[in-house]
Amino acid sequence: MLDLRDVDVYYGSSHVLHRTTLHVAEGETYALLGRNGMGKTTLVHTVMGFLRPRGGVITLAGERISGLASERIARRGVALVPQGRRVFPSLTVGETLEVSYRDGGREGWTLTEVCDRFPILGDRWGQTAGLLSGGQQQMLAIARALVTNSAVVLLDEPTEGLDPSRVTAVADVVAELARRGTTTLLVEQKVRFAVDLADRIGVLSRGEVVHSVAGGSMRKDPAPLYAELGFT
Amino acid sequence: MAALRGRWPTVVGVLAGVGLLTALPALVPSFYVTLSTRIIVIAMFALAFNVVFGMGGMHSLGHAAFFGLGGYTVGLGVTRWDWSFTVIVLVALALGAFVGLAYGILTQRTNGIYLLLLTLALGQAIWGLAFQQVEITRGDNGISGVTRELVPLVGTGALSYYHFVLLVALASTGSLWWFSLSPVGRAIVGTRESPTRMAALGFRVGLYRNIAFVVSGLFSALAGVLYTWHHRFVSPDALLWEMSAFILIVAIVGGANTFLGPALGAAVIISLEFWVSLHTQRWMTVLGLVYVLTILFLPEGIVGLGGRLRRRHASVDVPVIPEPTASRSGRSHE
Amino acid sequence: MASLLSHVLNGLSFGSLLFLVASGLTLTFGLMRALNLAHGAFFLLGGYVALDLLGRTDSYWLAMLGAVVVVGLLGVAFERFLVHRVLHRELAQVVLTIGAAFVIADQILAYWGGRPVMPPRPPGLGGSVTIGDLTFPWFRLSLIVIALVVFVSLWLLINRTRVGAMIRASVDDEEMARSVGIRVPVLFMAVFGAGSALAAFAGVWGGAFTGLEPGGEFSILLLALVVTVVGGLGSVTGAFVAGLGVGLVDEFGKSLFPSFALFTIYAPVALLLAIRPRGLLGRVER
Repeated sequence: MLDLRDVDVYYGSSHVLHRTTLHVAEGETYALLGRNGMGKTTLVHTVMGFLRPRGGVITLAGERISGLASERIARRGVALVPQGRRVFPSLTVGETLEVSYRDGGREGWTLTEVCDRFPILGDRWGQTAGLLSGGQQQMLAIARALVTNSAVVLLDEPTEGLDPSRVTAVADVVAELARRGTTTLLVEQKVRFAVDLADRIGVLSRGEVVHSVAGGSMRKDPAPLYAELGFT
Repeated sequence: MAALRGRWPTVVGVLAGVGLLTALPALVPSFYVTLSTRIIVIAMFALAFNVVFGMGGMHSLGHAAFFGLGGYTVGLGVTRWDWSFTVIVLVALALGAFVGLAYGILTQRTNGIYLLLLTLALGQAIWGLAFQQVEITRGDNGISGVTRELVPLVGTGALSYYHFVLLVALASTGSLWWFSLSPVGRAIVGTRESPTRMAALGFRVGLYRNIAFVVSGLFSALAGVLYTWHHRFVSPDALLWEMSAFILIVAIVGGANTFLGPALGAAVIISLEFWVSLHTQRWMTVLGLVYVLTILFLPEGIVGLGGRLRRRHASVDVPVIPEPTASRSGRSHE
Repeated sequence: MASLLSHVLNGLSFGSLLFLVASGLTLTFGLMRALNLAHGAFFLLGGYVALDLLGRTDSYWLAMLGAVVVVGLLGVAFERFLVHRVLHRELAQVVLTIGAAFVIADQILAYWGGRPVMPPRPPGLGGSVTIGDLTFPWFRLSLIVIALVVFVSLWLLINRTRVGAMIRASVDDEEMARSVGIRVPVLFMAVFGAGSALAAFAGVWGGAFTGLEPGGEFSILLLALVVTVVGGLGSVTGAFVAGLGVGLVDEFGKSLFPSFALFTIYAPVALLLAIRPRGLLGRVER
């Protein structure tokens, strides 16, 4: 579904992704692990079109998306829950969701559904997003991506800074996405969180995907992953 | 002198250039002497401007103020207040330096577009004064009849004034060149490139910005002095913001990243103006197109053309017109 | 007393004109961080095109419509082919748009000549209203009314419509706005075109107030810039308040300190910028 082939990305003059290759099958939940600075966010931003790869190609369902403008990539069916939330501070919760909403048909996410899942959003429908707490903003960022009803959802460290109850809520969302057949790329540092949810796991090390294993095999003993990540 | 060691080709080149300029009136029809004088004066202004722009990385759209203040000092000093040559020049330089300092202080906290607008407003305020203090400055009519009697020339006429201007230009260019290589000059360039690092190293960024403005203001005023004596006339046009924009594009066209680039820009644009005006009245359209095309295709200026052709492809899409580092929101990428 | 009221109304009507011109400027800057210094040239062009069309069609409203449409489209093309290439490079934008302004103004000069011209007042708005001792032209009052209408419409558009939400989202975080599928480049073109159309409208309607001549585009631009900056780049409300304020300062400055009038505007603005770069209602730079 989502394919990166030999993708080279520079940020400024530093070479962040080196001929990175990654395949995420349709409906699969793929967790990409890696320490800070290894290029996880760069990869996600490149898929979303914020950065242009200097080499290699990215395809979505066989069609090239690398080099396209972000809004075109989005409309082809990619959504992003970015690191750091990045809600629109001057829009209300309601406006944010309405502006992002694209009809997903009978099986798609509706505004009512995301409010059921995240009641806080329904409560604060008219509130300016900039005034929400960090955790609430994160819920909004996730809901924003959901209502676009995209075939592919990219999540960049979605549990960062959240308290345990909210972490559970996020895990539920990822599971729900899997249930609905959404292709999900989850970028994470928390090994446990990723291992519990992912069909396959990869480790990004210095801009290359070094390891790619089935999630199931890692659930019992994730030690190899920790080793790969550099933790003894 | 250490700067010259191992650079004999450059030294020879510079001497040859100076020789050429000195001998120029003998080589070209006398008609072009006035044009050459104008080019040299504007080149001086452009080099002075570049201390703030190219070296300091500060986008000033209000430099006409220094130029015009120098010009008006001559105009008023000669026709109204009966000052001597020395007094006129000293007052002009002092004004340039002082107003430069004012600019520097007022722009301490601004960068990017706000700096641009602030310097524009300052320049306009000063223009407004000249324009409307009609009793003193004769407003829009300008001050005419500014004779060159006071100027210490050898002989009379356009030729002798040309040599005088050339002499002053060479002296000021030499000074600015020395300044750019001095520790202070280098510190100014440092504040352009990485102000936070400079601050961390203990450099007072604000101080160096002020120094840049003072030096720039002083030498710009000097150019203005020469300008008025060249035309024997001064009007608020010398203070127009269009003049500030003009010197900006002159610096960019020549190449703001090099020391002499702006001077080259002056030669090119003034010559172009002269030639175009011979054939058509549409010089403003041509000038406007120069602005547009330079920005689109020649951001490094003419000097940068050689570099561009040599480089295969730019490794990064960095605009080469000095952009202040603080103007974009930075986001951390892994 | 009548004299005071007259000055106030004059100041407000001129300020209204300034707002009409500044609103386009502040919108394009707020959204695209693009400072369009050719805006004044669009103002001028609007007036000249309208006059030209008036000569051909003899209908004021047709001429007005034509001018607004032509200049609006020119604005769209201008954004698409020129301004777009220098987005996020502020100095480059400034120089580029100044250059374009020179070209437009010079071509106006070449095509229509340098005589000052004056578009006619809109039909039906001749004559004056009398309030006690004071007689004031309907036309100048209409400027104030129009500015109010435009202001309220713009405010509603930006704060109460979906398009407005898209614009605000793009201003907040252009990348994320794109990532939810908002067609930001199209928004840019539309806003730029709308801003230019507004300028053209001001050129026709307000041109009857100020007169038009090549060279005039920069005097109105500079004042509009002052308004935009004082009100805060990107704030329509700021532009409205500042516009009226500058109009009043200009009017009273001219009558109280005639030989300092220009200085009295620019010097305080410079001070304001030095102390509070974001103006009255502008947003803090990220």
